[in-house]
Amino acid sequence: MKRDLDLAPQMVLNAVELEELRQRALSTGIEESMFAAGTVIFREGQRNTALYLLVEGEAGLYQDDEAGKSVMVDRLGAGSFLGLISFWTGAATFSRSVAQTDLRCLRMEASQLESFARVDVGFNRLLIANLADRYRRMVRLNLSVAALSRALEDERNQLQSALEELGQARTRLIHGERLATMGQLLAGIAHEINNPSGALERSIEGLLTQVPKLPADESSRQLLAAGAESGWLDSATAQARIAELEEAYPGLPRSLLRRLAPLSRDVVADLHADLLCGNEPAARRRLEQLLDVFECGLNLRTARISCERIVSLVKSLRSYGRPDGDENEHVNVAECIQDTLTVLNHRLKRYRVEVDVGEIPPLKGSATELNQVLTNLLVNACEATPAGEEITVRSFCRDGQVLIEVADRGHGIPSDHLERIFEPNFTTKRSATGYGLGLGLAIARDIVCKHGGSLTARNRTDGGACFTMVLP
Amino acid sequence: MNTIYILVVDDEPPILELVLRDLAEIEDYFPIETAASADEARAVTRRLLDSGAAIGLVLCDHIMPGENGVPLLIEMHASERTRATRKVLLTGQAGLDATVSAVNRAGLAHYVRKPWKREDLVQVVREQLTRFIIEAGRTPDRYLRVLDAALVSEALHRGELEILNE
Repeated sequence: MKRDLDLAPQMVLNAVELEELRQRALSTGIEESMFAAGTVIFREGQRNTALYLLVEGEAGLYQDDEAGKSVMVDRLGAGSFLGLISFWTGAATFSRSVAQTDLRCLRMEASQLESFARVDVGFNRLLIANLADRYRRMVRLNLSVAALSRALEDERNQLQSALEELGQARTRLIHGERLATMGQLLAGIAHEINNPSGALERSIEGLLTQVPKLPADESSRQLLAAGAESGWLDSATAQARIAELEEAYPGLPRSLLRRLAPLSRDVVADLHADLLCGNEPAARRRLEQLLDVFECGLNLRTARISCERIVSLVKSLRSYGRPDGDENEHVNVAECIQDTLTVLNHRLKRYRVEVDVGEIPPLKGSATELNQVLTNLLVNACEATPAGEEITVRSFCRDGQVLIEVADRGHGIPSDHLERIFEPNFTTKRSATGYGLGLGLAIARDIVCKHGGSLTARNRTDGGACFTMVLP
Repeated sequence: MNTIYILVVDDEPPILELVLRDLAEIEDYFPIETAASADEARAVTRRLLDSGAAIGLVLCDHIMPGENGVPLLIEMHASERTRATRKVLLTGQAGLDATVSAVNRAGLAHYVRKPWKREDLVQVVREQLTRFIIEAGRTPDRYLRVLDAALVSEALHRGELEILNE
């Protein structure tokens, strides 16, 4: 940015008037001085006994700035006085006067000036005009300085926002990098768990077919099968069964009643009455033995179901965080939703999660990135929704586009924030609305836009917010 | 003499089953009641207390569908009828905040990290039940087989407990 100060000399008298004044001055014995271009007429700090009136040419006033560099502070043209202030006040000159061009000047000593000034009206007018001109120039100068400061301020603000944008871009890069690292880590862990969980699965399958073939009596076999196929008793049913059994077999200790509770009534009825009613140690041992066999079946069932959970979690983790995910693969939206729900299960547990996924044709894009968006929306929904309330995930087709909605039961979003929440670094996390949004939504929208879609937020009429992703 | 119950709260059936199995030998002395959620736990608590029983110990899961375990423990601690109940948090992932709030506001006695070892859980339960008996000023006679012997003898020594039959 460069802006020249308007230092062009002003003519205070027109050329004719000036020439007439010159003639009058010369006739009173005032002499003319000539300076070649570049001549220094006054130095800073000099005492000055003569006043020069510039008749022809141009002079510059210079001063050294703080860095010792010579700066032109004013330009004077024909009709201007040189050394006016130092001559009149007797103070040392405070700037250096240099001939910019060849100069012709009238040189007036104090004695000459007094007599000339007393008689010549034109000279007095010129003097006043000179002072007025200098004042005008000072005002203009101040305006220029103000304009300069403004320009500087603008420039500074621009720089500041450029800096902020750079900072945001950097944060996003780091965030993206961290996500990529986590994805790799996740895939690595999933891979490591995959082999042992596969082995575990096969071992349990083996046990389930082999254990029933072990030599055993008929009731043991039945109990084992009953255990392996048993479901889980809910607390109330277990309690009722214990009470029922206690009444039927008052001699049994609570711990045995508890162990008998998961057995169906038929199976208990098939047990020999001596085992349940008697108190002899041999009968008690036999009962415990049979219960051990039943619980062996229960253990096999628990092992099978827990292993199924691990296997499906590992499968979800593997497709969720696949680091080498193709940018242009065929994405199964229903699978993405299922994988994300599985991975976030520990957080979603506290809410009622309603999932409604219709028939969706495969999309072109990156499953990993779609999962990232879903994760972000679901985590936000968790943060907004009170525990035990409902979070809804819906997906359906409309007009050839795929819509995915994540709706919560939070306080909703103030209407003036509905767009702003997608801006980088916009967050209300610490405020009462409970929406923890930093970079997440900005990145989510970037991803959806990259897929040629849109991501918008709205408030539901019956409370809470709803984020809608539309994908082509 | 009214019965002293153990209340176990966890939403996952396999976990409840595991706890029950681990505590089988204690159940002959302190019957166990289970609940799959904070709400169910409240109902069970009311039923037991109204029948004149006491709850000596609550073993409560942390993360459950709906309400998590810490508010339930805080509520039980605030209620006159269950203040003395020993509170143990059973947790796979309690963060510092939840733990601090459970210790400060629920009078949390212990926290058991999942997965636990059978003998560790049994020891925690025995120790907490013993403390409940001592603080409630109950005669420990019929529970002696499952109480923590060292704690009982200390309490006898200090005169905080009295054995009637021996």
